[in-house]
Parts: sequence; structure tokens; C-alpha cells
Amino acid sequence: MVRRVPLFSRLVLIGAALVAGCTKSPEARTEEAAMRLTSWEATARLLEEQRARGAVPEQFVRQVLRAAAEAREEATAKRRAAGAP
Amino acid sequence: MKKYLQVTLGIFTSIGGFLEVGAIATTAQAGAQFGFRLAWVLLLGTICVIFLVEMSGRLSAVSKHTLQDAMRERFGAGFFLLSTIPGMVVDWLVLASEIGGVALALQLVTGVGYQWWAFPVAIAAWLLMWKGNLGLVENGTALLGLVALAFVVAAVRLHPPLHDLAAGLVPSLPRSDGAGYWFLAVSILGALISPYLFFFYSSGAIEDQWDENHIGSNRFTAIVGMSFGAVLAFGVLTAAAMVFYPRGIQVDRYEQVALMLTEALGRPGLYLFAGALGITCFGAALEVALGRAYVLAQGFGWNYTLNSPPANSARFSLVYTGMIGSAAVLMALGIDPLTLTVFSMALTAVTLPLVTLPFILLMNDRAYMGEYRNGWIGNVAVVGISLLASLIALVAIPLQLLGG
Repeated sequence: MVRRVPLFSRLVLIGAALVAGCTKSPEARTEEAAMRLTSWEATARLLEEQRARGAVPEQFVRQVLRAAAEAREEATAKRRAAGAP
Repeated sequence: MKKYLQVTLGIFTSIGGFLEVGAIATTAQAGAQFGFRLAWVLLLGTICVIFLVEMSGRLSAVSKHTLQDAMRERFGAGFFLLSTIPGMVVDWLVLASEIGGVALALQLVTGVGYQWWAFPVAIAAWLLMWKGNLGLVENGTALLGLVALAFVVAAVRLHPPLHDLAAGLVPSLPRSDGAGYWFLAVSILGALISPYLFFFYSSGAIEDQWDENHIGSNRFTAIVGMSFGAVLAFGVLTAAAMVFYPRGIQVDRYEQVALMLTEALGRPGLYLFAGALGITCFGAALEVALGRAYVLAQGFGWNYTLNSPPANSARFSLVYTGMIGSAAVLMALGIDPLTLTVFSMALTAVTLPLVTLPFILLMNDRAYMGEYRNGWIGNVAVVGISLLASLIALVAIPLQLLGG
């Protein structure tokens, strides 16, 4: 005789399977951190282009560069935590 | 003439309610990460919010009840509390995000960190509510919010490919990063379909003593105002899709978002961005704080009005004072405003059915609406979109959290 699994338990199991299946692997996390680094490098390039055209004030340039440095630090720490060299 | 003026101001108010920190942050992220592919979500959210805003004005004009007052009367105090507590928590986070938006705008212009601006911004907003009246709060910030047209000007100057933009209006599945795609989709819906907007709009209709004669102008205001707000939001998405997407820039910080306007408009772009962010968020902060104060006051039967001294509605005034003060603390602690914004918008999407489903029942109740009850198109659109947003949010939020 097959025992029926209650609806709530079934939903919990399906949810757990979904979550487990979609949790990011260390490789995916490393890749994501690398993408963030690339994104901030591109931001710095765009900022330099705009700075050269005189389209942004120096005070704003400093803010973006500070944000970029913080984001780079964070992404590097995440890569290390995910086991990347 | 007075009625035309009211409608015009109503439209500006709607724009202010539509475009705020949530809409700016989520559409900028969507454009940067997925180009035009999430434009359809913006369209879907706009349709839903037009229906909901029109309904909240019609409910107040016909039944002479505000939305929350009618909900408590029709469904009882227990249900009122059940729907109010989660909504209040989410709105508190949204309010902190709005204060963060204004503080960030001030940081961009002055270079002084946003944390330091949290309390001055909160005090300015509180003073306006304490000393001002509803007309000043509604119309002052809304008129100034027209500076947000800079996003549309920037989008036009960047010459977007109209074919790609039109293709983005058709729903599509993501090619990669499905969790991120759906998380942003629900965050956009949460940003556009914000319950505080209906609470505030409905309360304003009662304070302005609307009746059946206002139904036509209410419909016009909802359609034109929200559509105009949507055009501004499309401007943000388009500018982000043109500047960030091709360069592989993902938006992690508000400082990056400003670059899309400086790319198109040069140095004035920075000040226009700061102005648009600051003013729209300031207006939204007032609407969120007042919206929740109205909900509690009307739910518990307290006095409420902005049009007489605060001593006449002490508990109402205490609620918005407490909300805005405590939300400022959250920002002063240095929580990242962009992360908080996107997350609180997704949470808003989760709680949507708690407001929209009973709202639809009210709009179909002959005792409240008489001959002005809802048609089936409005019912299907609102129920369908809000349930869809809530279900996607329930799945996307844990996935996004687990994905870091």
C-alpha cells in the first residue's frame, strides 16, 4: 500500500528541492565575483571617458572611484571565500 | 477652470507616486543587466497600477470611504490587522529606501556620505508634514518632480533602437541568470504597484471631498498620470540599456546610475539625476509615511487630517513621526540603499495580494459601489498580475538570497 504524503509536506519537499537545485556552486560564485570585477572595470573606463570630455565634476569622480574600490575589495573577498586563487 | 487645475495637479501627483527610488533603481538595474528584455514587466505593471489607482479614487468618490476604512468595515478588524502588519513592515523598509534615495542625491552633489544626510532629510520631511497641508505635500513635490523628464531626454538623445525596445515589450524568458531576471521582474512590479500609493490616493480623495462628479476626472488622472510616469520609467530603462548593457556594466551602486545621464547630457546630467532622485524620493517618502498613518488612523477610527494643526490628530501625527524617525535610523546605520531598495520592492510584490484581493472584492460589492462596480477586465487584470507577481516573488526572493 502506498502511503499518501500530505500536501504541505509535498510542497515543502518541492520547495527544498528547488532551492537546493538552484543554490549557486562555488564555481558559479567565483564567476559572479569575476563578472562584478569586470563590471567595475568597465565603469571605471566609462568614467575616464566622461572625465576626459569634462562631463563629470572631480568630486563625483572621486565618489565613483571610491565605490569601485570598495566593490573590488568585496568581489575579491567573495572569490577567495569561494575557493578561487 | 479649477477642475482643470485639479486634474493637472492630480496628474503631476501621480507621476511623483509612480517614479521614485524603487522604479529608478529596479529599471536601471534591469536595463543594465538585461537590455530591453524586461520592458514588458514595466508595461504589465503600468496597466495594473492604472486600474488600481482609478479604483481607489472611484471607491472613495462613490462610497465616501477610504480604501483601508472600507476594508476594515467589510472584512473585520482581524483581517485589517493581518493585512496591515506585514504591509507596515514593508512600507517601513520602503520609507528607509526613499530617505536613502534623497540622502544619496545629496551625497552625489556634496560628496558628504549618505548616512550623514539621513536625519536632516527625515527632519525636513517631518517638518513639511507637521507644518504644511495636503495640497503642499501633494503638489509641491510633484511639480518639482518634473525634473525627472531628464531621463526621457537622455533616452532620446542616446538614439535607442526602436525595434529592440518594441521587442522588449513582448514577454520573454531569460537566456541566463534566471533567478536574477525574475527577481528584477518582481522588484519592478513591487516598485510600480505600491499599496501606499492607493492608500494615499484614496485618503486624498476623501480629504478633497470627491463625489460621483469626480469619476471622469479620476479616470483621466489615473490613465494619463500613470502613463506619463511609465514613460519616465521607460526613459530610465532605455538610458541604462543604451549606456550600461553594451559595456557589461551591472548596477551595484547609485553612483553608477548617474553615469547614464552624464553620458547623454554631460555635466548637467549629474545635477539633473541628483535632482530627479532627490525630489521624487522625497515626495514618495512623504506619501509612504502619510499613507501608513492614514491606514492606522482610519482603521482604528482616530482623527486624521493634514489640513489642521497636528494637535487635532495627535495619534495620526505620532505614526508618521515614528515611521520617518525610525526609518532614518536604518539609513544612518549605513545599510546599502540600493540593496535595501530592490529587496523591499520584491517584498512589496509578495504582500500585494493581501491588499489587491480584498480591494477587488470591495470594488464588486454593490453595497459600497452601487452602479459603479468594477468590470471584468479590471478584475482579471488586477487579480492576475498581483497573484503572478506574488508567486514569482515567493520563488525568486529565496533563490536570489541563496545566490548571494
